Amino acid sequence: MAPQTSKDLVLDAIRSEQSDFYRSIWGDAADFSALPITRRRDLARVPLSKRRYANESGITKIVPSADGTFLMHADFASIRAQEWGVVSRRPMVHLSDPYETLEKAAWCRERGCLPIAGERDPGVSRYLAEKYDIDSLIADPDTLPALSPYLAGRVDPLEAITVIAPSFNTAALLPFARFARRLRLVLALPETGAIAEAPLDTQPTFTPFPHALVEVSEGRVVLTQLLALSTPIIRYDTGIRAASDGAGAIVLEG
Amino acid sequence: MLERNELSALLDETLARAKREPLADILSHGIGVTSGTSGRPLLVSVRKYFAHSAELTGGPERAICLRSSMSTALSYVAFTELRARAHYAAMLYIDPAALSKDVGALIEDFDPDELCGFPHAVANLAGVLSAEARGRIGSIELAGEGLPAAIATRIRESFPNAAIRMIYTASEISGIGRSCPHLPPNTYHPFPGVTVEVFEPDADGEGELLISKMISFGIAVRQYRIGDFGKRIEGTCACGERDTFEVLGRNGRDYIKLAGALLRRELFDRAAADCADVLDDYRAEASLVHTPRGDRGKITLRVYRAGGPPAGAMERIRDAFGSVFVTPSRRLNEVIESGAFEPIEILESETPFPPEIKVAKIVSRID
Repeated sequence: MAPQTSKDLVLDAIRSEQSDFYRSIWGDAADFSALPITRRRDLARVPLSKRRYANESGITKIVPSADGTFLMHADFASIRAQEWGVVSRRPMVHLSDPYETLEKAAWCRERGCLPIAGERDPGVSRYLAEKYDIDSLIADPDTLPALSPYLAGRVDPLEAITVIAPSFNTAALLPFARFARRLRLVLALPETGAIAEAPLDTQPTFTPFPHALVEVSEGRVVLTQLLALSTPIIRYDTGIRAASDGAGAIVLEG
Repeated sequence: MLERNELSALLDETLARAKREPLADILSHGIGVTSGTSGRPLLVSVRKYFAHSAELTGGPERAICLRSSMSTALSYVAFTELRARAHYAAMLYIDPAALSKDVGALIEDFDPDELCGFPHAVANLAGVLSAEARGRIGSIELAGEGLPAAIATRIRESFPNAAIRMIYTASEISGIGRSCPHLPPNTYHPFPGVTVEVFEPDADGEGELLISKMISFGIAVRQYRIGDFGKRIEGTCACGERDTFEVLGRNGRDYIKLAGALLRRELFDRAAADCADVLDDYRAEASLVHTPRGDRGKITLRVYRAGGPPAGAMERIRDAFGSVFVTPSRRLNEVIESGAFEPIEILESETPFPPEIKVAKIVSRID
């Protein structure tokens, strides 16, 4: 799947016969930079069946939010197109959100990896990690600490630990750096997919992925995913507080 | 006969081979993890999805997966990928313990035409869906536990347009058998390449089931003692199949699947040990309570302490047993809070429990 241009995305959304979700938000606006911002409450307000712009096979997810719980559909093609992860032979995907676990595991499978999924019982997850002799880990800040006893007991470091979240307490993550050759931070939301990545640092600078067009507006990340998603993400207020570094990357705040 | 620990060695070989040789066809493979009903430690293996994958291609497009464990849910991702090679396919995973009217609204937005999961979860799902949504379900696949008559009736009545199939499968060795429209519940024809035998059948032909089949990497499993009781059904089925067997139930009454949870004696014993200063012995009974909102699990705990339990004992006992993990991710208190289970009923026994040759600490009172 070749990345879309922002202009293509906007035109497709305006012309779509499948949904008028964006037309109802944008009105007559057609110039990308003048498009009104879309927010989580807009997604929660409109059922998935009314904001589906493409019918591609994939995994539908329940996304909880303070604005109301809603569905998002992650099609296999766009899952495959997102270049956020590290390919390894035996990854463990261990995330608090079961839908994110399934989607990230599907990403692994699309890349020829055979992932094992963690379970919410931490003892079971540690057992599975050891049994499968995982070589990389995809986790979030809540699930990672539960695997500490397993990680500390390994002889060799993992190829990579990828921590996925909309925010990071880097001080709490620094002790985990010794458990992997690389510890990467991936900024992401369930409804948008991966946004940007950074190596673990005390103040990491996040570089947007090629498919992510990132703006900073009123101190928050506004995202356009240059992918033909089932519900396109176009000028979406992620709620993530950040500042631009002036060179295309972002630094999280708060 | 192949016992569980011997099977474990074969399954470990699948992991070792996958480590040595990259799999050529990832999309047809996955990692299987047992739930604990067959014992501990959990068995982990590389599985090839072939046994009943043909059943899943064609037809339904939007499947709801109602299973507890992530490894099982991930297998449905693989099945969706398989279907997607032929036609549009989507799946929505639903935690059976998290059914509510709000989730029902989301499910209706998804507009499923197929339900896959535990029988009790499928039956409970009916309580959160409109009649219109239930009428659009054309296909139901049941697996993971036996099918009591009352739940079978409820499913048939709730989803009048659904073709219902049951799959007899075990996480450690994948698919074993499938139902057919001419067979009663819990009765199956073995999948091609699968042999089902009955070990030392009694006068009624009932005995322990032994399963033989090939698993991934061409590894042969011969006469695996799966832990279920059953019997062969003689004669030719109306569908033409001559090989039929019935699954009667789980060996070891102290492993009970109920309302999406697994009640394990070893964990109940551990809870009892945690409050050994206020409790001498216990017995637990698991049952299903039928409510307008769906079936709920119930545990009745009878407790005995010489001289009577001291003040505050009941709360300690309730806390200890409520902390037992009943799914890989949830404790009993959590599934009670979610509404999948009634609160624990604790009754005091004034006399010690009668001695038995084989003590069953947890028994099922489910029909």
